[in-house]
Amino acid sequence: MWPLLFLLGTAPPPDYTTVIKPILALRCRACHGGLNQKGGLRTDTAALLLEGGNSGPSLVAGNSAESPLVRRIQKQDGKQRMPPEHEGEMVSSTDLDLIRQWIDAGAKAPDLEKAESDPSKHWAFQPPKKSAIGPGNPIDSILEKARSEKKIPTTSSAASGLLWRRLFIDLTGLPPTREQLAILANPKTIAQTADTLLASDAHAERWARHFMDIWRYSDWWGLGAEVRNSQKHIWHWRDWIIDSIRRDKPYDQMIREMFAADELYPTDQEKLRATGLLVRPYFIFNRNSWMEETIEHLGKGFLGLTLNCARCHDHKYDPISQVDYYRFRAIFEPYQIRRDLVKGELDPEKDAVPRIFDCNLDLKTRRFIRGDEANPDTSKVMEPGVPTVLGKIPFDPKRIPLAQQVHQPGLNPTLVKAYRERIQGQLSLEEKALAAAKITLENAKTPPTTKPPQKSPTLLTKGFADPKLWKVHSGTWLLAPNMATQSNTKDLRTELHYLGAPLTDFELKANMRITGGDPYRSVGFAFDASDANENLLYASAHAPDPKVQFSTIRAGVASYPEKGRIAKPIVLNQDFTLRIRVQATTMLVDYNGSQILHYTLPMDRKPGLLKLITYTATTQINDFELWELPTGIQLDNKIPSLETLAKKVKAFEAKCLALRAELAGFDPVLAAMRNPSASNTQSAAKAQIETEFLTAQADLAKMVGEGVALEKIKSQEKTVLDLAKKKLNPGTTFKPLVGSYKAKESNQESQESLDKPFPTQSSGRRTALAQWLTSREHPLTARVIVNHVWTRHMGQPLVKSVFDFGRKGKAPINQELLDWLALDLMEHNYSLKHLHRMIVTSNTYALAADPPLDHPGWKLDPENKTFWYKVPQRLESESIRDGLLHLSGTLDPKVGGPTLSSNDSQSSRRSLYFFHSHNEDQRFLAQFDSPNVLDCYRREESIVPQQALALFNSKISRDLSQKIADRIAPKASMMTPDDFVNHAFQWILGQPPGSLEKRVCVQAMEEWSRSTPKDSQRPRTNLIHTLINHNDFITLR
Amino acid sequence: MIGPISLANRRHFLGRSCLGFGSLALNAMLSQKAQGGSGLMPHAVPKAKSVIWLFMNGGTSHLESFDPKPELDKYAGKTISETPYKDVQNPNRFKDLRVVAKGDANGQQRHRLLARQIGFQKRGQCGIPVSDWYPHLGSMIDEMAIVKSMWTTDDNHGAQTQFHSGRHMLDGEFPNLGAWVHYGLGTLNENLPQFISMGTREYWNKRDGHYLGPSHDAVPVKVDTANPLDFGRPESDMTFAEQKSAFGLLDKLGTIAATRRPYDRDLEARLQSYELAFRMQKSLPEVMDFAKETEATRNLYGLDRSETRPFGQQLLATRRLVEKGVRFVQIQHGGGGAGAWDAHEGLKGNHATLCQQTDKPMAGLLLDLKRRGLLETTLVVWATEFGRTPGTQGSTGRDHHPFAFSIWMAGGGIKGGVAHGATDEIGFHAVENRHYVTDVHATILHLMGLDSRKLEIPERKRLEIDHGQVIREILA
Repeated sequence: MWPLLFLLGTAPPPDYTTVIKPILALRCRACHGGLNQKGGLRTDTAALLLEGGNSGPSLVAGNSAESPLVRRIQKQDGKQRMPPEHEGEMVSSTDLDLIRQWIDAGAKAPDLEKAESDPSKHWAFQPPKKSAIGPGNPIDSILEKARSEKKIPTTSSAASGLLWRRLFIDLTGLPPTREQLAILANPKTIAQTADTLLASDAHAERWARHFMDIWRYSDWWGLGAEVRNSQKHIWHWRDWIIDSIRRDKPYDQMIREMFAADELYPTDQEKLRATGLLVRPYFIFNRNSWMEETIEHLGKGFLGLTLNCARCHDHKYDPISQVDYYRFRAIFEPYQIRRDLVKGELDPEKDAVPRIFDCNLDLKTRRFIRGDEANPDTSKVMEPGVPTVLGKIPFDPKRIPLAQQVHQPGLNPTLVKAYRERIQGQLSLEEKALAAAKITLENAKTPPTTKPPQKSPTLLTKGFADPKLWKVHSGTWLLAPNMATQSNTKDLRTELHYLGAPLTDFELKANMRITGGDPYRSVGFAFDASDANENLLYASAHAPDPKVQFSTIRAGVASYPEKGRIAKPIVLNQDFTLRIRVQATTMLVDYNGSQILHYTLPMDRKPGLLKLITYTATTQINDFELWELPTGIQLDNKIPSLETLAKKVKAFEAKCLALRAELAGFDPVLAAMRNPSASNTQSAAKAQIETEFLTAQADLAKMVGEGVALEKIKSQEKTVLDLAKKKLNPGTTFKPLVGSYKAKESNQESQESLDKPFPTQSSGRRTALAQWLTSREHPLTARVIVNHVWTRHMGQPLVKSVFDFGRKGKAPINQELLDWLALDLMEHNYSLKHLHRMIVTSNTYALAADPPLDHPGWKLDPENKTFWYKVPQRLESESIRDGLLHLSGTLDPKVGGPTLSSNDSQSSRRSLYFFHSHNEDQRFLAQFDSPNVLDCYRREESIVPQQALALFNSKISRDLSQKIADRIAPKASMMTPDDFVNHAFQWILGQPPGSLEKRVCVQAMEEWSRSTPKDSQRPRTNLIHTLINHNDFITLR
Repeated sequence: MIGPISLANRRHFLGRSCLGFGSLALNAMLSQKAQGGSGLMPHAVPKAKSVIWLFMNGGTSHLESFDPKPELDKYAGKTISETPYKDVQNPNRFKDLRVVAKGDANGQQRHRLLARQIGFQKRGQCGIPVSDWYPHLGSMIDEMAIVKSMWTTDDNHGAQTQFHSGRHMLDGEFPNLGAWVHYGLGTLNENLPQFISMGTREYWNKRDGHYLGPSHDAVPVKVDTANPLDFGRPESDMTFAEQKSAFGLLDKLGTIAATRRPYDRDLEARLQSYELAFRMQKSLPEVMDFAKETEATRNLYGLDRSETRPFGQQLLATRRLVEKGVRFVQIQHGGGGAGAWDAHEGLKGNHATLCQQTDKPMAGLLLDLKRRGLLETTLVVWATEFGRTPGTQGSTGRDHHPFAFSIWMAGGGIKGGVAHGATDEIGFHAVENRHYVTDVHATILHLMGLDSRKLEIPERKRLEIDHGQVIREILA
């Protein structure tokens, strides 16, 4: 509009304050203003512009063509132009025209224009100060001061029912039950009740979830089975958060443990869980992304600073240079993740504590020019450091030596015991198998004189019609009379169990198809299955390698014998048939009607469960038949020769020998780990080579017994020979017991690098950072956390930009209050429970959320900066579900432990225990703005129809409504609709109904009674079901 | 029943909902109701009212769909360095590439050229060649504009996200195009969700709204008359009559509360959301019920054959949704894992099957929309995350290829029978009228009457490349 009018000669020149100044602020001020004065030039006032920089004035009033400002903006050469290439967006031609017109018209500006103040004097960079305040709760006192300045009266206090509900949900995430309210009838103060609630596990769980939001808790995700982000078992960190809150661990101590437990408490497994904070940003593909995410969110979450804005160039608003950014990165450069085995569990897939450690102590940090990782500035190493603008708080990293048990975690006594028992267990299995093989051999030498009569097979079951015979153990199996389908793609392995008697000799037939999944797409039948053992025959539509395969699990260890693998062109959505016959140790397998496998099962068969198994697959199985075969039935004519049987005996003997050697070698290995003296390491190496040699010999004996191809036997013979040579000169290298598995540093990491020993020192950088952050002089740490806690209690932050306290962020609406609370927190040893207590016992907290329409506050303080009323809050997704469970009396109070599957719709545990990642979310919770694991400094509060559908139509809503109705009035109770409505309102909404509300509810109940006269409970359930959909149920008021 | 709201209060409450940007569309809907108008105002006169977004997961080969290269047959078996076109592998020409997973088995240079796995015929009046795997779609070529010069920067399946949001995976996550359209335009029909997705979204992120908020996530629906959307019907024994009276009671209770708190916008919005929910659960099953469609129409989409039925049903449902005014329908074909089109080996069998699954339904959709006069206002977009290498991976497959690929658009202000842009002789680089993925976004937004520069969110910096350039050459 402007240029056109100007050309017509009718328009006034553009106004400096409203038009020109904002353009200059956006395009010039980061380099030429309060923050930086490149070339000595400032552009934050017209006078300063005129004054110019080192090369003279930048304006010639009345002559835009001669003004350097305009000339530099117009330059074609990106290096000459302002803003220069890569330093900021160009000034648009429209904006340039406006600047020209303003200059040509004389560059007029108001006289008393104020220059930008010194950015280092920004409020948030100064330490907080406590002001003198009046008596009573300091929150009330400070806010009352602000209110009285504007003569704003507060609204009245909330009705008592609503206030109790507010307090209970706020502190524990659960509304009060009738029993809890009855106790309150005995008049107790808010303070007493708050103390009780603050001491409860429920409080720890509720507030743990708040901190999990801020710290971006997420379970692992990736593609298929590959972990790409976060780590398995990171729930240990969640449990640490709960524990810490329950014990009121000081916030500064929480910071020290989360950032540096591996340096400060390296042998304390409980505290090491805390470093989940830094396990969370793990990203297998790109270390720079991992570091960027770490810096961005530690900056936002703990410092309230957008450090991330200084990755490519100096920060445009705050005095944080690009060098500051990379020095901050250097603090984290050495760290990697390892998974410590705990509680004697040797399989890190089953359990392990993921935690951090300094791995690459000498890795140098380089500044990336313009943030481009391909373009590092090799001229200078970035030494670890913290932004200097926050004052002169010491930051002084010192290397920290680590105890032996830290870098030799295999020495943990529980693990040592578990390792020893594992070998002993294997040995006892092999010894049993040896005994059985010997008996078989003896029996074969004296064949029975008469053959037992052949009996005919018995049909055990056909299809899946009999519900007593089948149990879904895991996955989503749907059973129809002639068909079973498994549709779950989330769980790696799913199982459908056959509950009939254990099978020894049997025949199984099925027509099947694999319908999806990725990548292995395996479906099969496990037999002789127990917790740690199974024999499994499966078909796999694994794209590069489709096959039928026999595999075994013994003592938890899976093996896939070469002989048991037959390549078959199995593809998705194509039917095929499998027929499996098992008799003693003989197994025959037919695929699409022809025999493809004749297999001798391991000797140690022990009849157990029959299971239908899928592994990363969905499937459809029909025409399933299961037959029991009479004992002694002859499946084939092949009877192993005496020679074969004798070879088998030899194989088992050799295996037992190897295992005994391994057991004998155990102590030398331990000794060498404890004290790597020359003689110790030599004995350990010798023992391990002996075991290796004997194991190779046992493998050879087994191969000979099984009659595998000659080349394979030859190659194994060579292995044995090589080891025999090596035995002569065992050296001093040995494999220590593994107590911790390093997570891959990247997708390309070599095995050698993965196996490298853990360092005996740590850099001490993160300890220094934690000490810096928790210094009483630090201007931000306490303010940032106080603001987060305040926001969650009060529904409205003191600093609206909760993750940006910098100059681009919002000013605090009451700095005096923020500072007072921050200092008070530090003075009370960073006790968060003290802070909670301070807030919830204030009169301000107890104010009503529904002030009258004519309250003067609406006009005087429409943004509620003085907190003259309580801001209503939408309940978080977890509180909606947990609250319903609690009111229905079915909430499972168990605290902590492994995650629940996000598909588990039966669980009545609290919602924070569900598996929750970028890829997986529990479907009910997902409707109500469950936390975004990438970034959740505040929860979204959306209002969408899907929420209505979830609360109205979900099974959980209905079931729990019914249970709540039963609790208010048991089926037989004669409670009148009138009374029921009274109670229901109290229970669900925390307040009694108004007369009109009561009337419409009673009417509805009567209507429901007429339509379902036989079911007296149904109208009650319907009423509860309606009330949980009321806005005032999912709102905290 | 809702009383007057003073300006100050209104500002106050809008201010509060700033956090949940989510409320914006709903506020728009509410104000629309109040004004009897038509949602948010577009920035310009729109050509298209709705978008149908068909995305082929895994990466469809441009060389076997819309970009025939006879030189591939000529030099098949030779390495690129043995052909006159060896400069295509000059490392300087790979500078746009941003690799997420270094050293991955896929996304590598494939040197030995693979002959075309299928023939091409010139089709339609325009005579643009189309792969013989698309016999039906080829018959609609005069309605379609092919863009043969697309490029992206991710050599792995993060490019799926990239095509939807415009940003590389390493930049983080950003709103998808559908979310921007939803954010910008609001609603045409109050009985149905306005942004709908169908098909499996497994590999790439499941949210759409990101910083626009969850209310701009697509609502996932299934072609299932009984239960087309999550929680779309009672999972319990509650009867329809009971549900209706419970809704009625809820409305009364809400109104009573609103009388006491006339300023409570959340309460008001929640009441509205229940009305919409109630209507949605009734309307969606109706849309998914094809009983009133003629047999001829059903066959047009290939519902009579098992290969074409799943995708055909989704497209017929899509037409019915668009007919009812739904803004944006986002369909993933071959979703799950890395995507079905990811033909690292056996491209011939893979693409023949997948083309067959989609050919007739897509042709049927275009024809059906045209016959009903809906094609003028409905923009159909077909896209995929990247093309496939001219060189062979193994002996029968092609690897990921971000340097060149093809997409097409039709209807809603698009010129038909046009092939725009070009690749070099072996289809390696887009060389003429190159387009990054956000150019497709810009074109769509333009046709919807939106200007991405006016859709900015405070505090959320957008880059020049996010806005893209309208592909003017394919506009009608």
